[in-house]
Amino acid sequence: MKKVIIVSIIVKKELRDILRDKSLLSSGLSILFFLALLNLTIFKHLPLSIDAFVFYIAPIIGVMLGFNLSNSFVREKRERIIETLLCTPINLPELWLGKVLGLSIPSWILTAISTISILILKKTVITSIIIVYILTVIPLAIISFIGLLGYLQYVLGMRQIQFLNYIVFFLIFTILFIIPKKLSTNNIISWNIIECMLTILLITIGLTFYLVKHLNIEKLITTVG
Amino acid sequence: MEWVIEVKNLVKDFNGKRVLHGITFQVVKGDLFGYLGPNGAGKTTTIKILLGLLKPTSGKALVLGEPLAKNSKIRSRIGVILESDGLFARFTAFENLDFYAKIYGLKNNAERKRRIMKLLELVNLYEYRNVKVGHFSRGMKRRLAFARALINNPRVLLLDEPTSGLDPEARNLVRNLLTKLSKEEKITIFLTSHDLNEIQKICSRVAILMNGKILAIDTIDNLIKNFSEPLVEISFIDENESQRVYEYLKNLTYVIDCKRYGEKISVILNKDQSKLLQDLLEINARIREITKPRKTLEEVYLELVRRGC
Repeated sequence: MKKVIIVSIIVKKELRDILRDKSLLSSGLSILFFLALLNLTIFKHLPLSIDAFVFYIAPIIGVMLGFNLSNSFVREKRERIIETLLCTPINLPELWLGKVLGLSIPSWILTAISTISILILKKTVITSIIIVYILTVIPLAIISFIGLLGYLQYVLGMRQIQFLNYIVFFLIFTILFIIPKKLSTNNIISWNIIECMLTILLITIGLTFYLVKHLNIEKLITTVG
Repeated sequence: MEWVIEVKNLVKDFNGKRVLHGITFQVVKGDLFGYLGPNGAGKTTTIKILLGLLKPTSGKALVLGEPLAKNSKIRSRIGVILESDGLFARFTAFENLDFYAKIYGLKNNAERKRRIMKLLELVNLYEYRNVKVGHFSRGMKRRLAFARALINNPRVLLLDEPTSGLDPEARNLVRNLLTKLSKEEKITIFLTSHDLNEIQKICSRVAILMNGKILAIDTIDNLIKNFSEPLVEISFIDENESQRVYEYLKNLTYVIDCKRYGEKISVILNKDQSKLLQDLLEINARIREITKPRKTLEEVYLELVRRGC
């Protein structure tokens, strides 16, 4: 029970911090710009499958937002705030979980709003399978991405983190480059696919949590410089 | 004897290099213990091992009888100030303390608010309670960190350079507060500082660390006594008298060294000064004043560090 309370305090702190962070505004604007660009270019010329759009684009929006907000892990490490936090009753897995949830919630809300807005603008009928996908797969995808990124940022040194960020950034744009070719494919999202994705994502989250739980705090502390 | 902090044969290696060489010391309840040493001596490493942030290579480091690494219950009874103030720049002073108060389990809203306001008043930041910490000066942040360290009513305070960045007035405030916490509330305080004057003013015991080894550990009075040479300074009524006595003193067997500066003579003795006084009375020396200058902690520290090198 005490652990749940501590995690919820950290979640609230992250949410409050994000609301005051100008990078959230810039993320929101970037997403709007990205969607407008898609609307004017790819969507206009390709026979767009809404199914494919939700399957590919929505998680990418969430991951982009999460990537932007996950800077919070590095900031606390770089400014050595994490050292003080770990001297309180907070344990590292609680801190990690609280931060992951706190950063994932706004990322998912913005992703869901932008995805649903596009669907409404395209006058699409939103099927139950799409709703389930948005409500389950997308938040878990965001959580597993932010969780893994947060873990790596805890383990790696500052220069390595910078390198990691370049790699993630490059990967996102590579995927964005590949996606348009797939956007006309119909009936991608099936119940089997959802089940399979949920299993993979839950395993990823569980595995990352295990790694965080067994992370040597000394490794975290000594990789700041 | 109730040991609140116990460090025994503590060894720490970093990448094959030994930074702590089997350190041993204890701090008793209510003690205000100063941990001194030049940069790189191993002060912060010791504090971080005590806090469970670093693992000892061998030996033990206990706070309230337990290693802190896996004991969140004990961690809730300690207050900490490290190099970083541990504050969130986008939060106000009040919000920062509120976050930590909640983490320490202060559930009652009214009680929590009362405690925060009291601490903000204590560190002279009440007027700035609604200002974001990002706008604070270094000294203001340090004072707020001090309030943060006290939010859980700790039984032990572990402070790494707590007064760095503070102006003289704020230093005085922190000094008085530490003395009060140690004497009146019996809080055990372990602090590192470069300010030897400050340590001399407030600490009851000190350990001097150099290259990962403790060079000396004792009460400040004992350290000064042990490291002060048996020096006596005598002023005479005039230079003729000082010359006469000087000629007499330099032939005495228990006088190691004797120097004359005008009307004054400095004498280093190899035994108690009572024999000297007796002999001076016998030769009817016309003395104006006799003083026994004490070394400062800074002088003792510098001498130890020089020897340690």
